[in-house]
Amino acid sequence: MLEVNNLKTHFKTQDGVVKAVDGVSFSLEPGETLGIVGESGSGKSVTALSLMQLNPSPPVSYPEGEILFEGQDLLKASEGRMQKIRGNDIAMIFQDPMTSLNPVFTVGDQIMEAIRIHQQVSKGEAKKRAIQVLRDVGIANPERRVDEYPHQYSGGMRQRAMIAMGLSCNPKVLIADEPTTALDVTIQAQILELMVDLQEKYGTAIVMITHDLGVVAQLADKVMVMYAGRAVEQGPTDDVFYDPMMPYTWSLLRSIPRLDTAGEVRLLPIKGTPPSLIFLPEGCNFNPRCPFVKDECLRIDPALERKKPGHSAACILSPEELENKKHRVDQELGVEG
Amino acid sequence: MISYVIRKVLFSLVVLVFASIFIFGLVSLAGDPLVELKQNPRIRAEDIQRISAIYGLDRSYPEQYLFWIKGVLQGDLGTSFKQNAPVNEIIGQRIFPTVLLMGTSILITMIFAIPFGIYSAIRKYSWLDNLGTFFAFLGFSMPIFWLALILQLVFGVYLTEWAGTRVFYTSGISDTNSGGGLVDLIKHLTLPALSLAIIQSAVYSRFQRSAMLDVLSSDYLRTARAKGLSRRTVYLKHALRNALIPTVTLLALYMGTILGGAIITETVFAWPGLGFLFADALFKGDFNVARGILLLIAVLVVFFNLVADLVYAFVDPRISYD
Repeated sequence: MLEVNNLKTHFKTQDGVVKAVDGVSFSLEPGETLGIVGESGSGKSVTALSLMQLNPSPPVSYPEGEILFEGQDLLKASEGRMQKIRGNDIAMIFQDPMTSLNPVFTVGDQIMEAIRIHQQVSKGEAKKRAIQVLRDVGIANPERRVDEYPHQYSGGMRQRAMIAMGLSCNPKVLIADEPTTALDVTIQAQILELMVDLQEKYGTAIVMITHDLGVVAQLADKVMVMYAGRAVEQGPTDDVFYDPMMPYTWSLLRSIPRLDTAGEVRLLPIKGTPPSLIFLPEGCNFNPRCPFVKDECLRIDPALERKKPGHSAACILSPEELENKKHRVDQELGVEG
Repeated sequence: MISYVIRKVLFSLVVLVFASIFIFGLVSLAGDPLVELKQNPRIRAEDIQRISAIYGLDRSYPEQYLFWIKGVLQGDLGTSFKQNAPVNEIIGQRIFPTVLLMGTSILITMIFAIPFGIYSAIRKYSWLDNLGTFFAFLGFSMPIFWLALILQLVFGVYLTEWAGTRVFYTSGISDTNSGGGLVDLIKHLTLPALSLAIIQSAVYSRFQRSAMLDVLSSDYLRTARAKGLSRRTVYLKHALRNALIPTVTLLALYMGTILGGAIITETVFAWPGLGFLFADALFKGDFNVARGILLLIAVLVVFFNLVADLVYAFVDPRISYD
């Protein structure tokens, strides 16, 4: 349904061209969930905004690639065509629900607006549907809440309202750009659960963008790990999580605490910071921070290649080499007692 | 809401009491209103005594204040020292010209500056925005009397010479020869209103530009775009509604001072408004007139402050006064 091939999203700045997204490919089928994971500045959000064609233009350009949505290339679609797709076929919800709703319009008005742009319905009918989607996302008393302003909602309720707005036209794809980052943990769990329920009910495909590996493990069927604007590992979620083929993914997984191995495995932070997207390192982009770096890594810039069926990674190490190295690190500092 | 208004009104009354004391005191300190008579050797001392007694000037300042404020509370601003007419009447005649002048200039400002400020924000650093920045700073740095004189010279003198007939007048509100009428009024009104509008536009267009710029970077505009709205709708509906909030507040606050008249502009154009009257009264020692105008301004400023608060609650749903 959605197929992205070699997407490149570049921004012209005074310091040079920022290759925010540099050759990313993935696909999404109806009802499927894709998790896009990476650090800040890895190109996750820009990828999402590229799908919506909402990156700020002029600085943005798309020198290569295609985004095929039901066979149509969105990169070549007119602004008018995109306006029909946005909200109706592909909807998006954003990170910070506190600032993502317009403070001077009621929540109901904002949902009704989304409905009425895409569907020829009366105001009364739109309001009925707005109340219905608010009920679907678990807002208590939606008949009253529909006429309230965003500041009368709590953070969790606002994100529910955002989801309601996103789902109000029953889109085929819902892009969620870090939908739980700004919420506290109990609300996070509720929102994620809600998204799973609604996905089952509406059959929406979800692109879940997050830096929270737990969220991906919980929701995603498949995962794409991004680093410095590129996909460095892609595959079914379980495969990627249990047998990461790219040292970066492995490092990410080793940098967060896990309940099942608590006390046995030491946390291993990733050294350094993500590289500047204007001055990328020679060779593999990850080499300055890679725990398994070899001499070749400073020269060879590995492309994404298939390591196992359906599972690809961008690393020159063979799966066996990687396994040995992981094992050695574990022995050196991981296992205690 | 109602309790808020009552509290606010009570507080305003306290402010006005203090304002009246300051106004009375400061104007009294400006000099002796009978100085001309006293310097005239042909006026006898007992006549001066008599006149002082008539106006209450022989009493102490607190007594004079109480006498004045008693009249004010009964709606009587006293009698002019110079024109032998009630201050109420003198001020009353000047209100319409001032409201007309200030209203027109603010209308021109709003029609021009707000759309321009919004355009400048949307097309930031375009050549038109840069041009606007240039003229705004020119407007900021030009003294209004200088601008007024230049407008008089260009549109009052040169244009008249070039056209062979008077297009715009440079003083007064009507011309006795032309017999009045709307066209005559517009010919008199244009230049003073334009002077004020140019200076105000510089302020308001910058203000509106920055208010709009603040709003343009908000997340909720991206949400609106993601819904499938056109850029135009996003700007004119979602952004504008938010960007107008500070402007409306500023305007409501400004309204009070506006109605006090524009002293300099009215003086340069001999426009028979409150500002001109105030300058005249102060120079001539017609203190009751000066006090009356200042008190009127104080009341209006306090009143429009209250209006601004209420308007704010109306345009911004986040504000409530419960």
